[in-house]
This record gives sequence, C-alpha cells and structure tokens, in this order.
Amino acid sequence: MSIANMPLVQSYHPTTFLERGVAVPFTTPLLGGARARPAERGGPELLVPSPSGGRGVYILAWSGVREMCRPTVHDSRLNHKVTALASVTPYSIRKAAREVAAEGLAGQEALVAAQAGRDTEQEETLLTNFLLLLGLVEQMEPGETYGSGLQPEEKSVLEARAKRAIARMAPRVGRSPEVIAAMLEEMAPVFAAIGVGRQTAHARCTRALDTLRRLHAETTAWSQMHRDESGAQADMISRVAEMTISCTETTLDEAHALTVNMAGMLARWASEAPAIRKLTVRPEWLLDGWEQISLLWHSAETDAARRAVLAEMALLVPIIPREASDWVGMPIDMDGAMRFRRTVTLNEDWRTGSAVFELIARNEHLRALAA
Amino acid sequence: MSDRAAGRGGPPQTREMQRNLIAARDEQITRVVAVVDALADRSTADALIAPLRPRLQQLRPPRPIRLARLLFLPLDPLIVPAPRWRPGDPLVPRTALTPLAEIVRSAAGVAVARVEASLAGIVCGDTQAVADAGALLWPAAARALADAAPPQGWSESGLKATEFAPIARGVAGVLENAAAVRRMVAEARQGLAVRPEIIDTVLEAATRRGPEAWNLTFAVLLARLPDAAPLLQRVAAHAARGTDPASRARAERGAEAVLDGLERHGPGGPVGDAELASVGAEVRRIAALLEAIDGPGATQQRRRRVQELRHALDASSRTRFEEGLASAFVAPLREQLEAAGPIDVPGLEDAARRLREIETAGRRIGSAKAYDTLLRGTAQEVMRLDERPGLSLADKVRMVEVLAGPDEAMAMLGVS
Repeated sequence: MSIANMPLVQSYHPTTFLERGVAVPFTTPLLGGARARPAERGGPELLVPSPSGGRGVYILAWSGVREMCRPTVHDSRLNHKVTALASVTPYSIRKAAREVAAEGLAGQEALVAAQAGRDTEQEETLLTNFLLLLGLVEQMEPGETYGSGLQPEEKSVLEARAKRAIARMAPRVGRSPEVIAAMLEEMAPVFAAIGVGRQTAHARCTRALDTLRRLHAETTAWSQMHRDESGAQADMISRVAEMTISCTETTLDEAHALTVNMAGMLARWASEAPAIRKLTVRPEWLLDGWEQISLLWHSAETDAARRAVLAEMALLVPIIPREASDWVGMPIDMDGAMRFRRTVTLNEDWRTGSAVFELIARNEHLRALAA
Repeated sequence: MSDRAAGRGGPPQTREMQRNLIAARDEQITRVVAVVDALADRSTADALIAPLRPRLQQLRPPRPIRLARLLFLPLDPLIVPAPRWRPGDPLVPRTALTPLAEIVRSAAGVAVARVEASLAGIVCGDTQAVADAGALLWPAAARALADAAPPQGWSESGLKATEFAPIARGVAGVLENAAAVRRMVAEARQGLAVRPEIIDTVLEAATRRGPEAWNLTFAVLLARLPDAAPLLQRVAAHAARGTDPASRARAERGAEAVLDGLERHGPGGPVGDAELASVGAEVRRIAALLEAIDGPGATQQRRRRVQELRHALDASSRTRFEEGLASAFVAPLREQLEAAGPIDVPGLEDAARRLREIETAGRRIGSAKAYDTLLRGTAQEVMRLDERPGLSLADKVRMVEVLAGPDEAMAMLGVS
C-alpha cells in the first residue's frame, strides 16, 4: 500500500489525552511526532503526522509504518516494547524508550544517557519516599525540620520520630505500621515526577515546565522579530506552549496540594489511590511531546537552522484535548491557537534522501539529551 | 611581480618554495597556512600557497576569518586564478581582490573598523558569527565598489584599466545581495524550499546593478543552491513575462560558464577536491544542476557536455566513495582491531553515514551496483567481527544498519 492509499485523518481533534496518544521517541525521521495509543481492537496503534508536512495524521499498525518507511532497528525494538505495554502512558513509554536506548541501539551517547537517566529516576524515587515520610513526620510531630544533609545523630532521631509518626498514623487509617510504610513506598514513584516539598523545584515535571517556559519566551521573541512564515510558526508554537504552561501549572498546584496534608492523603490513598494517581500524572500528560520540540529548538545554532526546525516543530505541536478544560476548569481555545498552523513547504529530500542519515544521528543525539 | 605572473609559477625562488610546500606533511602545511593567515599583507604569500588550495580544501584547517576573506566569501565559488579569467566571464580573477579590498577599506572605514573588531576569535566555520559580520560589511562594501574608480596600482593585478569597472560593478552586485543569498542557501541546505519571491528580489536587485552584477549573482546562486531548478524556473518565468527578456540569454551564458568550470575539474573529477563530509551534498548539487540546465530547450552540444559531465561525476563520486570507505572506515577499523584498544564506534558510524550520503546521491547518476557491492561486503566484514569489550553486538548492529540498512541489521538480532 502506498502512502496515498493509507487512511489519513484530515481533521484530528482528540477529546482525551489517551485518544491523543503518547509521543514515542522514534529516531526514523519520517516517524517524527508519532504517537502511540490503545487501539479499539487491543494493543497500541500509531498516529503518524503526514510525511508531506501537510495537515492530518495516519493511524497505522506497525506493518503500515513499514510500508511507509524503513524504520531504524532502534524503532523496531521500541515498537516491540510498546506493543507489549499493559498501558500506554508518558511514564511507560519513557521507560520503554530508556530500556531500548540502554541496549545501545540509539548509539553509545544515548546508551550512557539512558543508564544515567535510570539511575537519576531511582534516586528521585528514593528521595520522594524519604520526603513523603518526612512530610508525615513533620505533620504528626511538629517541631524540628531537617535540611538535606543529615548528621548521624539527626538520622537516628528522625528514624525514631518516623516510627512514632507511622505508629500514630496506623490506627487512623485502620492499617498496620508496615502497611503505612508500604503505602509511602507505593506513593514514591507516583509523586517522583512532580516532586514533594523542597524537591518540587528539581522534579522532572518542574524541569520540563521550565524548559517549556524558556521555549515559550524564545519563540515569542522570534515571532515578534520575524514577520514571515517562520514567525507565524513560532507564534503558533508560542500560543500553544502558553496554554500548556498555564494548564500544567494548575494541575501541578493541585497535585502538590495533596502532599500538604500527608495524614489526610494516606487516609485517602487506601481507598482512592487510582484517583490520586490520575491527578499526579496530569502534568506529564500535558507536557508530553514538548521535550522533543524544545530539544529541536535548542539544537539549532544558526538562524537558518532555527527556521528549519520551526517548520519541523510546528508539525509536532501537541494538540491540547478538550479533556484539559475539565482538568483546569476553564475553556481552552485550541482552534484559535492552531488557526495559524501553516502547511510547511519542504524539499523532497527532507527526511527521505541523503539527509536521512544526518537526521537519524540528530534524533539519536536528542534521545541522549532527553534520557 | 604581478600576481598574474605569480599564477604562472613566478620566479625560481617562489617555484622552489611551492615545490617544497607541495611535498610537505599535513601538519607542516597547517602551520604555514596559519603564518600566512596572520600576515597583514598576504598578497605575495597567497600566491605561494596557491598550488595548495585543493589540499587545503581537504585539510580544512581552522582558519581565522580576516576582513578580505569575509569580504569575498560570497564570491568564493567564482574566484579563479587570473590566467583562467576572460572579460565577460561570470568569474572574478583572484588578482583583483587585493585592490578591491583596499577600496573598501578606504571608502567604508567606519563599517570596516566595526567589522574587524567583531572578527576577533572567529574562524571560518563559525557560520552565524560570519553571517552577522558579513551582514555589516557586505552592503557597505557594495556601496564603496559600485561606482569606484580604478585604484592606484591596479596594473599590479595584471588586469587592464578597462576591466576594473565591470569587475567592481559585478562584485558590488553580489555583495549587495550577499546576506539574502547566504540566508536562502543556508535554508535550502536545511531542507526548506527556496521561496520564489526571494529569488525574484535578489535577481531584480542585481538587474538594477547591471549585467555584470546579474551574471555574477546568477553564477553564485547556481554554484551554491543545492537545487538549481527553482532558480532556472524563475529566470525562465521572467523572460517569458517580458520583465527581464535578456535574462534567458544571460542565464544561458552563465550555464555555459558553469559547465566550463565543471569540465576543468582536477584528476579526481568534479568532487575530487571536496572533503569527504561534503562529497555527498556536492554530488547531489552538481547532479541537480546538470539536470536543471539540461532542460527541454538544450542543444545537442549542451546535452553531450552534460552527459559527459554526468559520467565524470558518477566516476568521481564512486572513486571518492571507494577511497573514503577504505580510508575512513575499513582502515581505521582494522587498525583499531589490531591495536586491541578501544574501538571508536561513534567515529566509524559517522564515517559510514558520510559514505551513505555519497552513495545515496551517487546512485542516482549511476553505479548503484558498485555501491551496493562495496557496502554489503563491508557490512559482512563487520558482521563477522568477534564481539569484545568496546565492541558489543549493538555496536556491530548499528554499523551494519548504517552501511547496509535496518533489515540486514535486524537479521543480526534474529528478527526479520
């Protein structure tokens, strides 16, 4: 089947984030901006932006992707992992991508970065676990607060206070102290991406939000300086980025508020863990896809390169589904922001000719930066 | 001694020094070039290193950009040794550069001083810094040269007094539009389509400067754009609409001059002197250029010349590919294996990518089987390598993937 005969969805307005799918960091240039989502008949399906640079997406199984292009070994392996996922979420896709990169299939730079990224995430989860416990201790036994570097004697004092806090908390939620400790461990990976307490400033989502704010500022400046096609593209990117930032800030505040009352949250966790999980992952869903866009922008070193990546970035801008309006409690004018989305005129060779090798290498480098 | 004389070899001492330089090692040449680059007046020294230019193109030493080099950067592909230049050619004789630069220095002193201050620490590869400095210098230089009188000492260039004005007007025309042309070319190289309105603006500005300016501007665009077709389409459209009826004839002469230039290639063929990393892009550019100027109205003679050049380009591309495969991939891999040290896998992958760029561009004009055979053979050699610390299965898979494609690489993982 040629691309011309594939099912192109011209008008693509997902209602929910799950319907929008999760950005998959493929390295094949023609798969830039591809997203995975659960298919109606089970297993994931891929949404691939029109390779011509025009509007619309193709909804394909992997066999369809292979008819469209020759995916890299990395991408075939990544798709294999995605297919086996029980659920498609930004976290599960990131984990799968990191595992494939750690096999070395996106190059040595991405391999090293994937290993470092995995270690960082483990450390962040441990730290979150500690900070959740600390939050509980400080709430149950108000008094001394602790800095980041604990002295040995402080550690033993803290351990004792933690035991007492958990013991006092246990009857309130009708669980044993061991179960309370296990609940805190369960919560750690859930809250690691958004951070807890003093960690929030350095958490994954906060870092991603800061990067998006920088992108917003720079694309706004570009759009004001360049009254041409690149300026219109930058303007569209800037508008959607601004809405995404606003929504992310709201959902982050809401999620962070959960940990202010640790005792209350533990009580809720026993019965409402799935709902709490959903609240905490909203920022990740909102930010999904922007990392690649920011990396593309910051990888461009000349104005010509910036114009070229703006054309590419404009194709990747994630549509904010209507579901986000419910999350933040206000209407989102996505159509208004995307009105200025232009069809990009690209050379025939782009992403398919001799440039393909350079683009794959660039995408692999971006994988390393994103890990 | 005039530089035109130097172009023929110069006095015995110069010829002797040139012979010594030709025999020098790469690092010695790099040092000599650094000394020449540091000279305030490099006109004589330039003549000395003239025979090294093809080798310098391959060596690409990091060279500080000085005012004269920045000034004439937009004309780079058109600058030829004086003996090759004939009046009316869309080319610039190298001996004219020093006197033209002197005119700019004296007439555009303020801009020159600002630009010279901004050049400290910049080397030729600093694309954005060079573009920014050029955007300051080139318009001022264009104004200085447009109506300039021949400077004292023009005769030192070996050129006639009557040849000054057309050369100066032509150079001024190119410099006036240099920033726009540079941007257009840079964007085209990034994969963006060339916008017709930008071509129109540049050509119309050149037309206002006179035929010499138009000829040189057109020749620069032909030599720089990755695909000449949009340019030729705009010229044909202008001629057909009557907005610039003479442009078709001028474009024909420009195309002839381009063919002349391509036919004068060295023993390595049209891409013999290009560094390996740019061979693929250069093959693609020349192939697109030949296709564009071999349009429906081409004469039999034109067709024959284009055909011969295609054959030469095919052979040149294949030769550079073979040499590159041997010197940049196979030999380093074998040396590193024999040394039993670490394998520079990223470096080998990078070399393989450069080779695939050549192959992808080259197979469009011929020799597809030859490329396939060489790539497959090398990929098989990589597949047979024993894994060891520093050379994992993933490393081998990736090298095979670049050389022979993902299907062959997937087979190594036991997946079809």
